[in-house]
Amino acid sequence: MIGDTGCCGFSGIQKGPNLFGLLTLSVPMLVVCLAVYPLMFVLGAFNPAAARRRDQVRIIIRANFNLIHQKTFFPLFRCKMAGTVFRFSPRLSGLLYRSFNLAAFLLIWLCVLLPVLAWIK
Amino acid sequence: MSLDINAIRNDFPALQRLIKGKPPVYFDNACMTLRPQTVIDAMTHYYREHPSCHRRSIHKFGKETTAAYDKAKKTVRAYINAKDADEIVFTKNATAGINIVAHGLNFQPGDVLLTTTLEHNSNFLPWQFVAKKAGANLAAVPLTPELTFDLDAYRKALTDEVKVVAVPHKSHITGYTYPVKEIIQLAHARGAVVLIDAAQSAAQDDIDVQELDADFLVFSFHKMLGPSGTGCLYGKKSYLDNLTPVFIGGETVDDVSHNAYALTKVPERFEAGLQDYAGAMGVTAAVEYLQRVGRPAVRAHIGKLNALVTQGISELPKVRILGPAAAAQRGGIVNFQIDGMDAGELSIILDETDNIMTRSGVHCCHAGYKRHNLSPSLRVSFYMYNTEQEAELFVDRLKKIVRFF
Repeated sequence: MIGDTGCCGFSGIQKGPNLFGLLTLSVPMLVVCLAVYPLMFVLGAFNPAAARRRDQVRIIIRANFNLIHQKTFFPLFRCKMAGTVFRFSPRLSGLLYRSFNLAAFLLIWLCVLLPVLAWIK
Repeated sequence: MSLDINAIRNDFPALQRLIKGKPPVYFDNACMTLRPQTVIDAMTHYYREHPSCHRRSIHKFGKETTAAYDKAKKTVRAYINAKDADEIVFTKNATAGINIVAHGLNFQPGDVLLTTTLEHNSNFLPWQFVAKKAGANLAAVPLTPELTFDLDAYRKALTDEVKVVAVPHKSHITGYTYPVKEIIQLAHARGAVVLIDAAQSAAQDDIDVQELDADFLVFSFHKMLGPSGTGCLYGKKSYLDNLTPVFIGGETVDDVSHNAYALTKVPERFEAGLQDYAGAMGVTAAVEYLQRVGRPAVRAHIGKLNALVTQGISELPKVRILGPAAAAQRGGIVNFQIDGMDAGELSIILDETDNIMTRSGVHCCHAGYKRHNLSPSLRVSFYMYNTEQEAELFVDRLKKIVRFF
């Protein structure tokens, strides 16, 4: 629960998809799909079957982006950061706001999960 | 009939602040307005010159406090054109006033208490509570899809079992003004008592309780330049006489024995204990300031700002304004949602960028938002010291947020 919702204040309670699910499923799925998408984009131009696969991959990318964005993850920090950058560049501010969750989850993967996995191995 | 905005803004110390190098853009007036220096000075005067009790204390300080307190009552009487200052009860807010009435009326099983489907919790929960306690029924007149009052639905709901009708004068959600005169007339024809919640209208509308024929009317002074924690319950004398006080103690009695007490007259019997004397003095200053500026000029000004913002944001994709589309029907309030964006986060971003201070959430209207299937929204509410530049800044920022976020 973030901040003070009070009677009718900021609705930044923990909501959205499960964090563990996002970290272990959505983020890896997104990374893999983004990695193969360029190749599928090229193949799809020549092959109808590949074009259908390409469209499916695009849907998966969009769906996971939305899932990750929906998660309430340090919303106060995200908003304050976006608000601070807004003064200099509204476009950059919007980009930071939309990609905050993904960037945070990738950071968790790089700095926490991968080292843990490597240590386990 | 235009306001000298610069002169007005100079009267408000809070507007002279710079926060991270920028002035505040205060758009949360429906919650609480800022205070002019005269109100602050009036309160300080009390604490500095005669910080004592009233009435019971007959020394010089006490007499000054009594005189100032009585003056506050007379000032408020004139402001709403009540017949007598004894019809004015000072409370700590509109909520307290509604509770005094709700708990003071005598309901029987089967009685109906009638409100609407978009009430502030303060004009909903007291009635829900007393209805449950008394075995009475709480009913709500459904509003139209535009969240305006449906007189036909109201006529249908007004049965002989309805004992009280409690509605707002102006909606805190949409700024829409209810047809209270008709509501009161129809209710009286059925023998029902009417309470009007004027929390949102007292700051700028001309309220004449005699012309309206309201039985009870409540409002908060902190929504009209007055001190925090001050409010008013107006009641027709005969109605106040028949209301059972909820809190009793010092000042509410003429005599007490071990087993019994004799209540004093109205309105003192509803003002238990020592009162907020500094607040009362601040109330006098607030009402005098507002009367100097002029309520018609304030209405015209906030209407202009509303039209400016409405025009700027109503065409934006994903933006949905709650209530009537026409700004002229929403007073000084623009309450809206942006699809896919959390209202609370939007409020924080606006505050962080340019100190644009707004209100987000369900606005103490949980039941209403659920009933009308509304998501939390962002409310912008204007007052006499807001400028067109501030309104334009808000529109500009919102356009960029809709575009880039």
